[in-house]
Amino acid sequence: MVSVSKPIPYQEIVDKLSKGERLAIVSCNSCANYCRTGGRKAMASMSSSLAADGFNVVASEIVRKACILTDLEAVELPEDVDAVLMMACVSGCRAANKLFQGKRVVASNVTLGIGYYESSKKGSILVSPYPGFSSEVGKVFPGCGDDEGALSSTGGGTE
Amino acid sequence: MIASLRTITYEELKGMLNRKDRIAVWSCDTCARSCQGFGGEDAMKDLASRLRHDGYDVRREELMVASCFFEGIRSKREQWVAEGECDKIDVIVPLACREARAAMTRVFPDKRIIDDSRTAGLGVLDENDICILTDPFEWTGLEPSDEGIDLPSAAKKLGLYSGPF
Repeated sequence: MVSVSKPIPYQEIVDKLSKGERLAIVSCNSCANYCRTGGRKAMASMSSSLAADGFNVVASEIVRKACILTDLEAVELPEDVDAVLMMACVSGCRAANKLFQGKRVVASNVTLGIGYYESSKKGSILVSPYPGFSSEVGKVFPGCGDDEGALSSTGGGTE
Repeated sequence: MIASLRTITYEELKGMLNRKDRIAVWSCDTCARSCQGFGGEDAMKDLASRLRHDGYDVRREELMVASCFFEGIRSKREQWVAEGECDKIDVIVPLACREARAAMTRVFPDKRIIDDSRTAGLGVLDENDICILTDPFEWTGLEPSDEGIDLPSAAKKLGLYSGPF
């Protein structure tokens, strides 16, 4: 499966979070990792940025595939987490909405659609777009200069 | 998780094939398998068996863990070449998503790849290993939701099919 995603601008993510919340970050190590909007490196970068900006990050967890309920169920979060920042595609956020009842689920990515991964291009190629992203078909994500993942300034949002 | 619906019946598939075609059945073992068994090993073996029983020349059955990786598909082609089989295949019947077919078309420009599925959108894999469509593409006219819709119901609404041939 290759969902294609790009990061929501960091400031927009921050605007959705509260410094009074106990925040967990859950990062998908599959499709989002291929697009550098998830995976360990992007998660570590997000965690350190949020911590430096005064947010209370109490957990950071990798999930193999966030859209698989049994995978996401296996993620252990502290009981008193208030909000979960999902570094995943929209499917991962749907699964999180279902499983993390009582916690606020915040998306860090925009899902552009579905495609396939090409390692020689170091990213995923968009084939089938969601509305608003038809002009992105055929492009590789992450694009040039987007290797910093969530800290790059591309637009859009979904939650 | 990619939610794929089948667009043709087995009879329609046969109508797209020639008895002289040398056929490979290619099956994805991730999303397509979870789409009510449209893909996966069982679907691949069953389809190959039925086509052979009906007089079609199925030369190869190819199961790929996930067909949405360009280099993985290319490796399969290289394997076919190394085994001297690539030139002996004319048609690929893919039990995979449209996006994988797009990658396959680049790798196998010399083969006819049967258009047999349409991607309904993204979904989640539930506790029973079944794909539930949660974020449909616009063409479906279906609404996104956390609860989603099961693929047989989606197929019925859309006049398509779910599951294996």
